[in-house]
Formats: sequence, C-alpha cells, structure tokens
Amino acid sequence: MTRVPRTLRRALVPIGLIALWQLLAETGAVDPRITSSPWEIVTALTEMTRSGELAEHMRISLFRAVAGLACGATLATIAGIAAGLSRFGEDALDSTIQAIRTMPYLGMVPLFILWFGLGEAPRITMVALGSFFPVYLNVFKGIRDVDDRLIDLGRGYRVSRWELIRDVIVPGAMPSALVGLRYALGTAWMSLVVAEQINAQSGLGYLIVQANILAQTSIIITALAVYAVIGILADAIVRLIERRALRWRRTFEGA
Amino acid sequence: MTDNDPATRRTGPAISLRGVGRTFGDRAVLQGVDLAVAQHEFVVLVGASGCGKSTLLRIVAGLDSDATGEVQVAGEHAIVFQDARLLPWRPVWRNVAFGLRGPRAELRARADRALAEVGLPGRGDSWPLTLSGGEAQRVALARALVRTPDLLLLDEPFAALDALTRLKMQRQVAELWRHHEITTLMVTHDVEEALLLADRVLLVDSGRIAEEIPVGLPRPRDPRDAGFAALRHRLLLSLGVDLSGDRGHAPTRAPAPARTRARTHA
Ligand SMILES: Nc1ncnc2c1ncn2[C@@H]1O[C@H](COP(=O)(O)OP(=O)(O)O)[C@@H](O)[C@H]1O
Ligand SMILES: [Mg+2]
Repeated sequence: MTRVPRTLRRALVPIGLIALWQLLAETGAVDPRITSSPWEIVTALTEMTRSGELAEHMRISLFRAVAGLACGATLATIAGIAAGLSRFGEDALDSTIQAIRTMPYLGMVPLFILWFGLGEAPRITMVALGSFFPVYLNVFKGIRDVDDRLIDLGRGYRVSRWELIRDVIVPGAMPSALVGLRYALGTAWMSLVVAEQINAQSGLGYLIVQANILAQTSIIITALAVYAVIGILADAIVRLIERRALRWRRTFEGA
Repeated sequence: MTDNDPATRRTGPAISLRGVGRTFGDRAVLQGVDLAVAQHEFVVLVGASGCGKSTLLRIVAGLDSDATGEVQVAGEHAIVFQDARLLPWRPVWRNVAFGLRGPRAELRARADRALAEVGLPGRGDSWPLTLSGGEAQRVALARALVRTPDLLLLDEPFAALDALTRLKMQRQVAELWRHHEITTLMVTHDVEEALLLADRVLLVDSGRIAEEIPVGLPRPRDPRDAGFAALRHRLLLSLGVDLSGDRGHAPTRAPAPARTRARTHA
C-alpha cells in the first residue's frame, strides 16, 4: 500500500469514475442530450477559457464568495466571542441568532432583493448569512469547551483578562473555530449558487441558468466542476491553516 | 485578599487562615481550618487523598471564591497544580514564561535558565503534549520558580517523577527555599519527602488540621538518621500505618488512602 503515493491513491476513484462515464457516453448508454461526456466538457471548458468568458464569471463569483465569507465569518467570530466569553453576551445574542438560524435563509432571496435592491448586496448578504451560522456556532462552542482548569491557571498566575483571551481562550477555541470555517466554506459556496441563479447577470450560477435555457449540459457541468474545484482549493487552504495553527496537537491521523 | 504592604510582608505571617471552611454541595470538605505560616517557613500538608489538601492550597492561592473564613496571604505567590496544567498550544518556554512581561529575548533566556534548573535544558521549543508526565510536571515547577515568588504553593509536585529525578527536584526546591527565603506550602503523600523538606508537617483530617509535627532535624537531613526514623514512625502512625510489628523496615511511601481509625487530635 505504501508504494503508491498518497495523492495518487486519493485520485484513483475519481479518475476511475470519469473514465467509466466517458465509456458510457461512447457506447451510447447515456443520452448525450441530457448528459455530456467528459470529453465534451473538456472541449467546452477549453472554449470558455479561450474566450475569457469563464474567467470573467469565475472572477465575479469568487469576489462575491470572498466578500460574503469575509463579512459573515468576521461578524460571526465577533458574535461568537461575545456570546462565548460572557453570560451577558450569550443572553443578548444567542437566542436571537438561534431563532434566525431556524429560518430557511435560502428562501429569503426575494426579501433580500426587496431590501437591498438588484446590485451585489443581496447576493453577498446570502453568502454572508450562509457562512455566519457555522462559524458562530463553532466559535461559541469552542470557547465554552476550553478546559476550565486552564482558566484557573490563568487566574492562579494573575494574567490580565486580555492575556487570558489571547493565550488561553482563543487558542483553545481555535480547533473548533476552524471546523466552523470549513463548514462555512461549503455553505457559503452553496448559497452563492442559489443566489446567482436568481436574478443575476453574471457569475457561475448565472452561467448554469443560461446553459439550462439553451440545454447546453456541457456548460452546466463545466460550471459545476469549476465550483467543485474552487471548493476543494478553498478547503485545502483552510486545512493548511489548520495544520499550521494546530501543529501542537497530537491526534490520530488514520491508520 | 493579598496583603502587599511591604511592612507586613517582612514582619507578619506569610499565610494566615482563620476559621476557613469549604463545602461542596452539602459536604463540608474543610471546616474551621486555622493555619499560620511564618515568613520563610517550609510547611508540608499530608493526609489521605480526598481530605481537602488541594482545596486548601487553592484557597490560599485565592482561587476559591466560595470559601468561607478569613484568608490573608502576604506577597506574590506561585502555584504548582497537582496536574501539570500546561497550555498545549504554547511551546514549553512560553509556558514557563506564562504571564511574565518583558522583551521576548529576555523572557526566553529566563525560561531557558529555569528549564535547565529543573533538568530540562534545551527543551524550550518542545510542545507540551510531547512531554512525559514527569517532564510536564517539571515544566510546571519551572513556571513557578522562574518568577521567584515570595510564597511557593506546591500540590504534590513530584508525584509523577521517577525516584532519581524526584531526589534532584527535592534538592532543587530545598536550595531555592534556602537561598531565596521563599515561604513554601507543599502538599505531598510521601512521608519521607515531607520529613526531608519541612519545618513543620501538618496532618489534614476530617476537614481540619488534625495534627502538627515539628521537624526539628538539622539540614541536610538523612533518612537513615535515628531521629528521622523516629519521626517517620510517628507520622506513619498518625496516618494510620502501624509498622512496629510485622515488617522489618518502613517503606518510603505511605499508602495513599489511609486510616479511618479514631485518634485524639493534637
Ligand atoms: N470542584 C469540586 N466540586 C465538587 N467536589 C469537589 C471539588 N473539588 C474537590 N471536591 C471534593 O473535595 C474533596 C477534597 O478534594 P481535594 O482537596 O482535591 O483532596 P486532596 O486532599 O486529595 O487534594 C474530595 O472529596 C473532592 O471530591
Ligand atoms: Mg490533591
């Protein structure tokens, strides 16, 4: 097992599936009008890349995702810290946030358009909202899960409240917070697809809607694939951060 | 309730407890504890596990806001908890310098010196979770010693150490106590350790200080000494271990969960 490089091992199943898919398309087992073959998708991808169309839509989608995620995650971190650190903060924020969380925010797009107009605001709000809850919940939980003996240690050595937050609470909450961030990447990205499919003139989601109207399945799948690749890259970045920020841990890495 | 007035710091007692009590739920773990520790005194607390020694130490450290009674502690104190209690996300030297202020290079140098003193030179960059139990406990000791406190509170600080390292660390603490005039209040369940280090051994039982055994032996002390053996015998008896009959020689350690036997209190 160890002779095959790890990355290759991980790629084995997806590559196999794609090969199988191509094979099914070649033999006519799947209808090309409903599902394009991998080869057609590659062709569409090359064309859209050459024309610059894909880059433009990707750029605008990325901008929305990053802006929304930055807003959502920042606000969520602040709210999570406030609620996590003090009972007062918890009483003030937590029930409200939990109540809003139960609303299906993906269904709120029409409202957002009414409130924020037709510009970028409603879409960025959607992404922000999508990333807010996972980050908030995990920051809050991370803080409340900090070993209280370490808080005791801080008091025993008479450190200031600020030092206690910086040296004990924030690093202690970090593993959980980063899990929240990884979840948030997923929900943010998903919110973006939905937002871009409703009332947008650009972005990958818009590309999908247009292609749907024209029944261009290769473009739909290309756009989905791009979504997926960006999602994987974003996740890899967070995992890299995780590995650096949490290198003090001794954890089970899988046998 | 820390009294930082320099005048009392030099003249008054280092620790003064009067009528101190602590209940958990409806269980009174400590009740009516009176304790006075003089400046530069080395006092050791012994007693069965669960009798409230750690609780008492935490009260002295000002970490228990639910304790009743009067607590006065003079000067700065540093505590070594029963568990090493290191921050796993800070390298060892950062743990040693925890709460200290100053330029990074200077803190690092101080931490490294303290680590060398506890026999862990060059381990400053290790992560706490990679240390053995005994190493972690020595880091915790270095963290307390690096700030040369007026009062050192030690909760079974050598329990996880191997016999050889324990001897070294005991000597280390004894040296520090002698040279820096540090008042020390230590919890241990090791009778020999208590007699090696203490000016006074206090036996905690039934929520109060049940017995006081002054150790008048000259330092450095030798466990083979006749006076030492007599005191050990007496202390073990107080802890409920009678060795006069069946065994040829006393073990160095008392069994941790001790006695239920009734006894008149000193
Ligand atoms: N935070 C707590 N909550 C409830 N019970 C406690 C707490 N801390 C200590 N106790 C109880 O108080 C008793 C004394 O504990 P402790 O002071 O740790 O004993 P020891 O003498 O072994 O150090 C024990 O029975 C313990 O269960
Ligand atoms: Mg204890």
